[in-house]
Amino acid sequence: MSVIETADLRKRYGPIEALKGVSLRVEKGQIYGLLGQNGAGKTTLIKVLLGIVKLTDGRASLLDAPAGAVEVRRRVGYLPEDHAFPGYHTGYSLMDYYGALYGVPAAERAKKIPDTLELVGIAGRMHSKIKTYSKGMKQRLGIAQALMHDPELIILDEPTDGVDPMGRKEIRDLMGQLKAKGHTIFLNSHLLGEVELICDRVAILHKGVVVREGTIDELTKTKGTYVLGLMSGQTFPADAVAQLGFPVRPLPDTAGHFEVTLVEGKTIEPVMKLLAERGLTVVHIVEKKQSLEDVFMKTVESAEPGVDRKQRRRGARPVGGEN
Amino acid sequence: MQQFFAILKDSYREAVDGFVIYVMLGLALVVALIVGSITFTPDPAPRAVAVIVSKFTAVFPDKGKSKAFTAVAQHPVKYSAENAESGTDGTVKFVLDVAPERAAVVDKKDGFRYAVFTWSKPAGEKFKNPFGDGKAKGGEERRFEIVLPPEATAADLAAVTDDDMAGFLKSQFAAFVGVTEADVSAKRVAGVAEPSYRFEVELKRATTARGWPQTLDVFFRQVSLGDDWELGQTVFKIENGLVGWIGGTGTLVISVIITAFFIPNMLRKGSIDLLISKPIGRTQLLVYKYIGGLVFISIITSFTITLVWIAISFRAGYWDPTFLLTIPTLLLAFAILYALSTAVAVFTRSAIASILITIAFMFGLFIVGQAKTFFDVNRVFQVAKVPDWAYTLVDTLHAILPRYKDLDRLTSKLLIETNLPSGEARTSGIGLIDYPSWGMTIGVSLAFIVVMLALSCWKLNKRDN
Ligand SMILES: Nc1ncnc2c1ncn2[C@@H]1O[C@H](COP(=O)(O)OP(=O)(O)O)[C@@H](O)[C@H]1O
Ligand SMILES: [Mg+2]
Repeated sequence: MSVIETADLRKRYGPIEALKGVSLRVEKGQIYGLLGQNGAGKTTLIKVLLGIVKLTDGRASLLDAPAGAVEVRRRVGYLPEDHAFPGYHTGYSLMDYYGALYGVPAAERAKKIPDTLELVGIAGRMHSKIKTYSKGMKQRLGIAQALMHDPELIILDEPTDGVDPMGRKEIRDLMGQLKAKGHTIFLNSHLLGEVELICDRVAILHKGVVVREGTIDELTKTKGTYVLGLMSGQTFPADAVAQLGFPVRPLPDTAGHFEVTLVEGKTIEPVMKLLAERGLTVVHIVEKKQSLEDVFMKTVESAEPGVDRKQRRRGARPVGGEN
Repeated sequence: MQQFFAILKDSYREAVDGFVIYVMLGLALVVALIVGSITFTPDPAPRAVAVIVSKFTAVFPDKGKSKAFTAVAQHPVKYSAENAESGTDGTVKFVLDVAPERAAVVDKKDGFRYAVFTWSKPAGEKFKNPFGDGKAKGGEERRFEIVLPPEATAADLAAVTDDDMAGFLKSQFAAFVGVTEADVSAKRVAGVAEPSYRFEVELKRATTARGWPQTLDVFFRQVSLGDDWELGQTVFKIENGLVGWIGGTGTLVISVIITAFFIPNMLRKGSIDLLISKPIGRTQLLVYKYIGGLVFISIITSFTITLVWIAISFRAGYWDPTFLLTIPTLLLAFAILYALSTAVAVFTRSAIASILITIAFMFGLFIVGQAKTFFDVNRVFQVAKVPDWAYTLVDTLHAILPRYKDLDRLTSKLLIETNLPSGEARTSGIGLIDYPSWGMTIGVSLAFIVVMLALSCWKLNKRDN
């Protein structure tokens, strides 16, 4: 059983085509991240799944029910982006209201609400009116209301929006705990570093199209770039390595470390042999990974038509500046 | 059900969050206090009896059972009882002198015997539309009925017995004082030359009855509004004033304003997604929210009306629950307006637009109601020359729009019937004109509500949020 499944999903808002044939599959127990710039269509995808907007074409299903089915939403928790809670509620009464809408019995709500608010760290203020909450507190409340009915699937749209770095870490830890308890989490973010830290799988959505999809490892692995460092006092034989046919460059940030890139069909073995022959001691050898951000930038740029890119370069807008 | 109550509770929270609700409850208390500050003091018996007997020109045929009345003013009679005295238990005793007022206008008939004769006969032929042909200008025939005074020969008048006279007086006093005939005794006293008459009359429980004129004071006797205020008539005026045009319109406008924010707030960007993502359909969401507004207003209305009812009943000394029936009537009027407000809110998402359009609509309904009343009268009396299409237009609008004005008229009628002594109720004219039926009024109004809600749900379900 897949928790979320879409096939060639399309969504138009009048002339704007927000999703142009998205096919995704999220399995139970994963933390799945959907990445993309602002306007890529991430929120739209979630809204289609929850029936907030209607799909134009293709298929989408949520917990084996067609997207938009009313009853299946009982098993889903949702944190919308840019949510506005009614200011006349207190944190507690809002949870009570939403809990009742989810069908959680009153006795259970009385127990669960303080526990859940404790979990997100705002239990101390739960009887204050929401209009007195800070942005971060509202975000935590938003997460709490998505959790209280113990849903199988938790959908979070920009969950760390407006939360300070400490809070972000707490939220990431919370997601880890939820995953450990067997919940599936689907999250939207434009914050790549974060997604990299917690997600099992990601999809990169660009202008309504999924351009990359896979586990973090799959996406960030690069074919053969090593960073080598020798014992202090020893000099790296850059010229000799280069003569073997490997591109070499010193890393400016870390003195004495060099980056060696493998060429087609070769391993790092000849370089190691050369260093050993010269009696040099390797104290640092790491196969370099690119960050998700690198992957993202490359993917997005290559997905863009050339003309478009040139125009962007010449313009005043910084590249990737939308993030 | 759980979801329904959750939404009710949420509407309640939203409403009590603002200050308007407290202003309304405060206003309700003030009104109840003012009404409670009213004191009625029965007028002295001679003064009161004089007021009562001045109404005797209206006679109810069929021994007082007729719903329509006959005016016997062409043979004026003067009733006087300067010697009236009231006991502590509300019993009033007096000697009633009856004499021709002045020379008879039409012929030299004995006016008192003629009145008794008219009373004793079955209701005469009903005279329809004395001022024109009811069907002259399109539409249904309007009924305007009075009962023609019967022809009476000298022999007829001579045949009127003392018992008839006593019966007539009992019937008249019962009808205009608001007591039962068993509470009235009247006995002719001999020794007065006809066409004058003398009777010994005793009225039981009279000074506390609904037709008894009172001296009216407000603000705990700080301000006096004078005498000659018949108890029931005054209670009716206060009640009708509060739920009728002035009070009713004010309450409705405030209610519309308070509740106009409910639905646009729910539909606001950032709010609606939170609700739609819950396991509840959009139609349910909207209908529940609509009912939430109704329940909320019904609580305020019930509170206000009940409080005022207790205050006035306490002061008037009789507890007639009819006024409480205005709670559902007002609520229906509000439900009509709130349905429109909901529809406007779903289409525009603006509370201000909802308020403005709803109040404009209220005003429009008022105009249509007024025009309909005027045209119905005009059909009979032909006061103004009105083109046929105008009749058609007003009749059509009236037929399809909710019966907001009719609700008010029906409520007034109900309050007249229960508060006024039967004689005054019958002479107030409610028996003379046709009233709309409750069934039609409620039916058309409910249909309007259903259409408005259906439109709103359709729109809400169709749109991408
Ligand atoms: N309700 C809407 N009406 C019209 N266009 C919309 C609406 N919602 C989103 N869009 C457009 O659809 C595209 C995708 O938006 P969105 O799904 O919000 O992107 P993301 O969440 O990735 O930032 C954008 O171009 C946006 O302007
Ligand atoms: Mg978004």
